[in-house]
Amino acid sequence: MVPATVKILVVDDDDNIRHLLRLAFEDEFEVREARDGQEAYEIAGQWNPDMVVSDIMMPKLDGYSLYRKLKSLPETSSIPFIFLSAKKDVDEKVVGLEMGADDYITKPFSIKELKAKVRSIIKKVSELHVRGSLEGLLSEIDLVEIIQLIDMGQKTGTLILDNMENTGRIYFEKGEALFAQTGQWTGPDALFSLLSWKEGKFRLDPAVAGVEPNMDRGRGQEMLMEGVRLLDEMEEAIRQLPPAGTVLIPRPDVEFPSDDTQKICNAFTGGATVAGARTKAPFPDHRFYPLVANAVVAGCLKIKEPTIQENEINLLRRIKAAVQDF
Amino acid sequence: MLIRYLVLSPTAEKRGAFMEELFGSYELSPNGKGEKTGLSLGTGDGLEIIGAGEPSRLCSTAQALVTKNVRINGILFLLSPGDEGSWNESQRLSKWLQETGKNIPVKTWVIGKRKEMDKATSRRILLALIEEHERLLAAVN
Repeated sequence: MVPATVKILVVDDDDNIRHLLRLAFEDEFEVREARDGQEAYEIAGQWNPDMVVSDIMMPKLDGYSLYRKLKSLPETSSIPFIFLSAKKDVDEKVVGLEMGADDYITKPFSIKELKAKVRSIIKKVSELHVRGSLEGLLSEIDLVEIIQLIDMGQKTGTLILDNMENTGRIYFEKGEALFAQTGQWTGPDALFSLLSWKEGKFRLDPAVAGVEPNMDRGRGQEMLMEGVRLLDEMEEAIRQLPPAGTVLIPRPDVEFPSDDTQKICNAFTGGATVAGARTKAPFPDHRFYPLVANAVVAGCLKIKEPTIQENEINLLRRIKAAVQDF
Repeated sequence: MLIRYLVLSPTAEKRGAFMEELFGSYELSPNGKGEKTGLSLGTGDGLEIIGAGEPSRLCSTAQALVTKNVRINGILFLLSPGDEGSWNESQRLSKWLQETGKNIPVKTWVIGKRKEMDKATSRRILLALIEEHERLLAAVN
């Protein structure tokens, strides 16, 4: 449940921006302003805001330092934080998100978009705090957001995921992911595989699982950003692949540029679709798809022209589907 | 690519009912001794069903087409209950196809009155032939 009065602390050394944010927020939230990071830090300690929306470049204490200081104190560590900056540099955005911020908005920004983000984050955090547990559908909230919520709430427990075909689990200790497993994959490979799930349900079980960590401590945000990057790469690779159902076959007498390419090509021996080879290849999805796309580009895999019989089988399937729809 | 199935029955009534229930209509051949209908899946792909047959000439009709290299991908017999002669012809044709190494699936279906040949039954009969065809192709592959 969202608190009756949501308190937002707006931090910016630009009077115009603070004024604009106050005007935008005050019809819906209780707003206080701070002109720099130091003033914001002092207000946050006493006023306990539900969210901080902060500029980055400010006198006395900048936005990054304010974020670090608030996260270092137990009483302010779970306050959601949005960076607001004129910096359009992607690296700055990555730094902000890697630090664990809930969002990063670039000036000039849309008030409507900012308010929507604030509402959405407040709602999710409130639900997490009230229920003490988290559950729902991945079609409504993606795993990156769920992990950030768990991190914000400093939760301990096991996140159980189920997409009907497979299950996965991630064990968190005080908000940090220390163990992940899905199918044959464990550790970072499992976490990155789970990040690609778009459908399925999830539930945070507060019970502590007796598992040996298989991910490094203190690298949670870094892993998450790495996962998002790999996910982008995987989706780009999928876009480069031939249409679904196309049979690929290793080109004979080709020199493989790497052992991994050879392993990928072995999964296509005799001809296989990408979906078919995926079940045989010894790689998780975030490595499998880019390796297949690279193998196609490098000429190690080629499209296998179907035989007359294969064409007949394919056509029969289509006829059968059409007849079943009569 | 076109898949062509031959439907054989001693009279046109059952063939016509089968085609009409499946596709809503069919064409008569110019000599009036056969029927044709089908399903187009675009870009030249589809299913063509040709109907033919007279009493005591079911097996020979099919053999004539196959030996003249008319591409037939499957054969369906639609027979009446108790029509032992046609039943024996269907058995004879199956045996001949096997002996001559023709990999063509054959299905035989016995249907009583016209009302038994409704849309669901027609669909079931066609799907049974398609599945037999798939099975044979898979075995060859």
